[in-house]
Amino acid sequence: MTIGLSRRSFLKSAAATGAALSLGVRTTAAQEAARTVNVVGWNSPDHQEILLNAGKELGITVKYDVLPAAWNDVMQKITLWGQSGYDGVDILFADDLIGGLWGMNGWADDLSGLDVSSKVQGDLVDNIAALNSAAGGIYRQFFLLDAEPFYYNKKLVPTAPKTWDEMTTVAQSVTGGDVWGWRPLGGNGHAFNTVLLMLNQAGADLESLSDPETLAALQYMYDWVQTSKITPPSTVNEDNTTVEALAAAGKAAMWWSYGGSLKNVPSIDGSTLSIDDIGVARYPAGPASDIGLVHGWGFLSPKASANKAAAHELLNYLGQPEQVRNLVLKTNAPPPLKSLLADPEIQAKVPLIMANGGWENTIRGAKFREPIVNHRQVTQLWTMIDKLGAYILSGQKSPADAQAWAMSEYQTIKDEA
Amino acid sequence: MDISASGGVRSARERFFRLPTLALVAYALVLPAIALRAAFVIGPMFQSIFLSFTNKNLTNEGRFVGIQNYVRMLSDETLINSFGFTLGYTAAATILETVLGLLIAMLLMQVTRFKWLTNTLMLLPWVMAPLLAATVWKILYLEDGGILNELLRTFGLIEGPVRWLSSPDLARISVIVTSVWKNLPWVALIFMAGLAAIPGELQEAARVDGANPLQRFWYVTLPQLRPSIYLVLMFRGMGEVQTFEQIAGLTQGGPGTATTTLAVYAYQRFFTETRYGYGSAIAVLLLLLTAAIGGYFAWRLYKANR
Repeated sequence: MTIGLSRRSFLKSAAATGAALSLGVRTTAAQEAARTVNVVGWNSPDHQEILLNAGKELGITVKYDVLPAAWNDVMQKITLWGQSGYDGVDILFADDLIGGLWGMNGWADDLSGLDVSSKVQGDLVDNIAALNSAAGGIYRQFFLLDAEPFYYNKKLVPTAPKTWDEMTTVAQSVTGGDVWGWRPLGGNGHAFNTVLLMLNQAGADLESLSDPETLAALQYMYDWVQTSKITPPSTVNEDNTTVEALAAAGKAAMWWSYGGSLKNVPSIDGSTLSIDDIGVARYPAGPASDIGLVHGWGFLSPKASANKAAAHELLNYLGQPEQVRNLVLKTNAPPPLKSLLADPEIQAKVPLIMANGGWENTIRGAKFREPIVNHRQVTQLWTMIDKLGAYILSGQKSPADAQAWAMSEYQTIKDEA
Repeated sequence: MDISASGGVRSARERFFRLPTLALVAYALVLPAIALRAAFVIGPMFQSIFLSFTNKNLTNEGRFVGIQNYVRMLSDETLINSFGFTLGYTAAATILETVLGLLIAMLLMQVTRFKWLTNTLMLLPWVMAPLLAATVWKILYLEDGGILNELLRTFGLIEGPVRWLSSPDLARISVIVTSVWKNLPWVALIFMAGLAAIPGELQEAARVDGANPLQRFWYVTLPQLRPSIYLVLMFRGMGEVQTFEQIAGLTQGGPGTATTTLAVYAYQRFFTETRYGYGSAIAVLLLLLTAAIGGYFAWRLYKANR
């Protein structure tokens, strides 16, 4: 049997077949791309595994890339992504600085419209709700909430002081030899938190830093090193790792560090402290309050994302309490949802939430570094506050001079906005 | 005659065609280098200069503000202090490196056995990455349990810790010491090459004339080393004025802003605070300072070589 096929009809059918095939390939590729979500997060196999598993559940391909190791590199990279409208990231792990930068500059989606946002709204700890309200939107879906608690060595300080003055007196009574009464975090970018803690407790106006309360807070910090001498001058170079090592060596009577400190300090080689030797308390009250600080990490959805539908589907899934629970158990950090605080497994993994009469007591009223993290120029303000701490703790500027410098710097930042 | 005439014509033709062709080939060969330099050095440099006349920052697209950033520098206390520290740091580190480098080079030139070993040991700090060197010294300088303080304490020289990095004055000295330690080998190497190039007859003649070692050093060695000295001053002066990694690794410009050099300050303003306009203005100031130092010593070197 012969088939009558002219050259013309052969070419026509070949062209049609080719077109159909290539269109099909393109459609499949487009569909595949739409079901692919590029995630940039911590260099953590546990997190990567959770994200990949979530993707499998939903039939979404998750491509996981890690943030740079150095924080400065992180900031430069993600600032460039945000500014340039880079569309290669669909979900970004974001702390308060990244969240504020992206949220307030309009680079991140407001996630208020996600189903999961309304579902967990009432379950979020109050601090997150307050942050979202101050930021005017939900720019991150939190998967952990940590704090900067006040710690004390029960062997040296049996009960936590209640006021600033009391803290100075107690600290002076135990300072001597290698032991210092009060070791705040003052180096490697952590002075930012020390300054904000004291400004909040003094009741300072963080919108201007021009009030007497600001000066009172700066004076109090200055006195730690220069006058009452309860803090070593080396504080300007000490970060959480150093302070925790010193606390473990019994060289700190009171200190502040991040949530992990309660477990880190006893686990340091040769530590003189067990977990029972470490007290957690609300801060000694300043003239205005005894509030502390909280911070958190969450998922952020870049506005420029090319795969938004799949990314939001994944976020809806990851925001469910049971998924947040998985993340919390892997991270060993306190959860952002109230309902998870009563979970025995989480309580066992994160003993901090059971200390000080419960986590809700520890973080009551604690601020998310507002109004810094809900300002468009979060990076500049962050640096300015950190430098203010460096000036004060090093004694390079007097409190009055440091305040004058901060006011002028603040004004410049506002003018440049 | 014909041949000569035709030869003359040919050579003229050859000159006419060959020279431009050679020149074109030469230009074509260096073109990639010129293009790369223009793209990655000259272009960004002009971009920085342009940015320094704007108020561009993270949240502001920026507009032309004339010399406003430069005027602002005059009242920026941190910048003025950084400028002063940069000059002091550069002068102290460069002078120390030159003097000690020359001393070490002269001592090493006396070594006759195991020269490979002494040279290798001497060069170790120089081959170390600046950030790694800063980390090593940070461990030495640690106030609680640091090696230096523990040594001093063991020998009963101190009771409390020396505040190597948290006292502003000591921190300034500490970063200079680190920089000198890091760069001394390179200086010594240059001087060793310079010393080796001095003709032995000159030293011999001076010795015959009755010159003592000090006189021989002063009247023979030092004048002969003048080009090497200017070379060292030029490179180390330019290097020190731009120091960034060691300071960033050791003190991050602290305590407070005590050890903030212009390079560190420009980095903080530009990258950390994303204030591109003002950060660029500081970078331009640093560029001018570097060019002034480099230019002066390059001129002295040129004169010394004539």
